[in-house]
Amino acid sequence: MAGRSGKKESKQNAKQGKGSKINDKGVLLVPPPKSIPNKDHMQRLNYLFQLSTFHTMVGAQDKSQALSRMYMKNLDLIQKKTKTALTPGMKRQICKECHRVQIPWRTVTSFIANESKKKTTQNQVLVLTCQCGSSKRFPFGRNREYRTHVEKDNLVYMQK
Amino acid sequence: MSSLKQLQQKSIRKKQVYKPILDNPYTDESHNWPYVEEQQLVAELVKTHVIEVFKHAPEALELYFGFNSVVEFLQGASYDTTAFLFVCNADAVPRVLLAQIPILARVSQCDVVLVPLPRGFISQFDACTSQEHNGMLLAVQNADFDMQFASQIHRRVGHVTQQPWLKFTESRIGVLASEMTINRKPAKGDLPSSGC
Repeated sequence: MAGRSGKKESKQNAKQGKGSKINDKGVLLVPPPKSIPNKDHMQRLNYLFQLSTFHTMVGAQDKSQALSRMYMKNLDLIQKKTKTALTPGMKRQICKECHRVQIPWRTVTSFIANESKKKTTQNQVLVLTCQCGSSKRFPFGRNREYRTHVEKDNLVYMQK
Repeated sequence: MSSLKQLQQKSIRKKQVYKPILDNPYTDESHNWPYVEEQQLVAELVKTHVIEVFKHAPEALELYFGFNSVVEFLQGASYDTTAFLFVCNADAVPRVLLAQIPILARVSQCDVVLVPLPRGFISQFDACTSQEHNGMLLAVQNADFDMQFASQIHRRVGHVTQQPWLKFTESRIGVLASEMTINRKPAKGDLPSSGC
């Protein structure tokens, strides 16, 4: 029995690698992967995002931004279908209602609102109102140093 | 008799995993914020030519403090206007506000020179004005503006990609470190952890 369990442990060690490290919380630390599965989905999403932004910026005459919104709608559908993760910085640039790219003055108006009676800085909210009428509110007053999980230096870029 | 390494292996509860995530192609730092040569010197110039002047003669310069005033000015500015937008992007300014600034500067009709200031410069703004400034100050280059100062700033502030949406950029794929619990099947010889 002891021989079998010893073999098992040695197999486990070989799987985890000789240079594996374990931190104080009992987490096995692994180096980042060299390749990513389903990279083509991400490249497709990136292309659609840039295409949508291009059509919003260049086609200033088109007030409805139909083509741009169609590309963004496609992006949203593919992202959901393939369960691809997007950073908050990317998601914040897409209107959830009409799928417009959020670009100041072209599609969105931004201002800081303070609805408290005493106008304390804690109650400041950044309001982004899209052309369709929907608005996103970011209450930044309470924690001015707030960073999203991606911005906290734990994102490793694979390629540029 | 088990070694320290084997004991450590037994104590593993979680494993680090990496989840792929797609980032916005236009939020690259090098695309958005210009590089400033001799940033300390630029900060000193801003202090002497803008902050000190505003303290002694507030009417001498056309200055706008705060996000709302800056946005309002940039929206209504004409083509022939040049403005310097000083932003304390290294200080405790909310990221959601900072994310808006480079796009605002690009989309505006007037010529906007974006000048990121070094860490700690926000205290100069605090000392200078009592109104809410959100770490940003816009100075309009009018007839009373010091041209020598303007040329010094122009010389030291680099240019960013003016219209990044006209050029296709590679996808910015990153991996996010996360943790996953390891479900271990109990070995035949091991005693069950619970049960009577």
